[in-house]
Amino acid sequence: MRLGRAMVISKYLLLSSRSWVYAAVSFTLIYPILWLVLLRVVGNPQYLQYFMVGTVVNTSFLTPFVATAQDMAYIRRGSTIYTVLFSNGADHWDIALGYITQTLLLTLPSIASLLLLSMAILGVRYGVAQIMTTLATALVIALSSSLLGYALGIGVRNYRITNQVSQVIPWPLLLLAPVYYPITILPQALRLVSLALPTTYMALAIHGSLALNPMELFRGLLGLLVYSSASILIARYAIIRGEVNG
Amino acid sequence: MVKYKDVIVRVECLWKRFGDVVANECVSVEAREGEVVSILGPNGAGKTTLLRQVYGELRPDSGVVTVMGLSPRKAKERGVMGVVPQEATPFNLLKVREHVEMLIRLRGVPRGAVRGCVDEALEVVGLGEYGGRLIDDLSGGMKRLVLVASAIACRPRLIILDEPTVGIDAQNRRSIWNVIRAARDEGSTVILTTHYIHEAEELSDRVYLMNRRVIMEGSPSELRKVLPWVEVRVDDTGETFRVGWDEAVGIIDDLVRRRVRFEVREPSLEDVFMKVFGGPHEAG
Repeated sequence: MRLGRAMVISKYLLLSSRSWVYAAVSFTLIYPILWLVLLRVVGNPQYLQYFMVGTVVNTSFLTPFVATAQDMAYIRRGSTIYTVLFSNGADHWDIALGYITQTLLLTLPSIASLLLLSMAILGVRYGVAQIMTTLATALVIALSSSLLGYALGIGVRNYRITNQVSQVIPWPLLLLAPVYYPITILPQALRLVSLALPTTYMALAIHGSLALNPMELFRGLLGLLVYSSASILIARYAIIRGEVNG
Repeated sequence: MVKYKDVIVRVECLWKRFGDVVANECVSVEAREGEVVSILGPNGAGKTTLLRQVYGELRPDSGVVTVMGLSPRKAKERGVMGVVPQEATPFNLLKVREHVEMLIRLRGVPRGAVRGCVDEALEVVGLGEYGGRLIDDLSGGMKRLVLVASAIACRPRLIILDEPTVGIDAQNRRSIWNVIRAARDEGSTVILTTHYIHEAEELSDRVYLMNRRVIMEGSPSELRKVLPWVEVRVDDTGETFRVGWDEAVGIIDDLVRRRVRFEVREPSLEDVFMKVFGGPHEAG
């Protein structure tokens, strides 16, 4: 992998997404505003902090995963754009990192905007340290999730299946794990299940970042380390499988 | 004897299977510096599979592929290849100039040289005026030209064109032919696959006929010699004779004496193709 080539891909992917400027503005500003207003009006104040955690996890996990999986599936299988890039000098990892970088550039501002707007709309208070730590944690989540989406996108031959599967996978992970609520309200059996879900550790790490709780953050990051390592291994497997089977 | 450094692409006994399907069966191919090499064969003959191994997208089951003495991956890293893959589509949401620029930069061309290369490539394919246009707004043929311009820009040592003229009108096809000839004249090696046999005949220094394995190899004129006939067509009666040269001389002499209008046609590469792979005549 060469960083320069990845950045070239990222730059031109961003240029090619100029037609999606309305979606980008909506995702960065309108969606956080509407969501936060909704939380203020109907949200239970007891769970407000968990809903903030859930929203950050949702934005940093679901969006990069689904977008990358679906875009990569189209780029690789629905068209030949991937092959055009690959055959003219890019490596698989260049393409992966190039795409992921542009995804991060679209995702992280949305999270930053969510945190900043929540202070105005919900009246919560986050310091610079909390916001920076949360953004750093969200970056790790988005990077790993995007890589997992990349593996799914290039790994499955029928891109229509990828489009469906990528939408099915995240929801149990978001709803069965204590992402939008504390783990204590889960029945004992589900608590054990949730310990196996990466989203549990994402929520733990984000909660630890927003609360500046080092122990919680450390446990969350440990889980994220396993998740990131698994993402890298799965992506590597998908690349090798693609080179062998076409 | 060709020196090793003159061989740009060397493929030695390449095997590739997809499950039970054998796509390449001990294929050996060579392309030398400044040559246009065409790979011809029917649909499903394994031409694209072969090329995908040359540019490193597929791993061979066995056999060796080298590009300028390097593995395809290393060669690609050094930016020696410009490729138009089969059925390729450009990034429709980029501008023409941006697309060419992107692929040049992926090949590692220094920033300072990019602008000149883009201008030159767009001029060569006749898209000079379209640099600022969104690719999405161009016709299918012009989109194909964008890909060709992107592949040939900055004159890479090896240009691989997998069916570059499919679905293109005669005018644009001629433009691509001129681009291929110009690239060869400047020392690039071009590997071409096409279903237009006439195109291969016009452009190629060497042709490989393959159907999973290489069946014949040679220059177009060498391959045409496989068919030892000439076709004499008598215009007045519409009769056609396929006879050997010796016999043809007698027939022509007779037709001239009788002042009958006629045409003489040598075998074309397409006749060879039909002979090798079977066609309507052979099937009948």
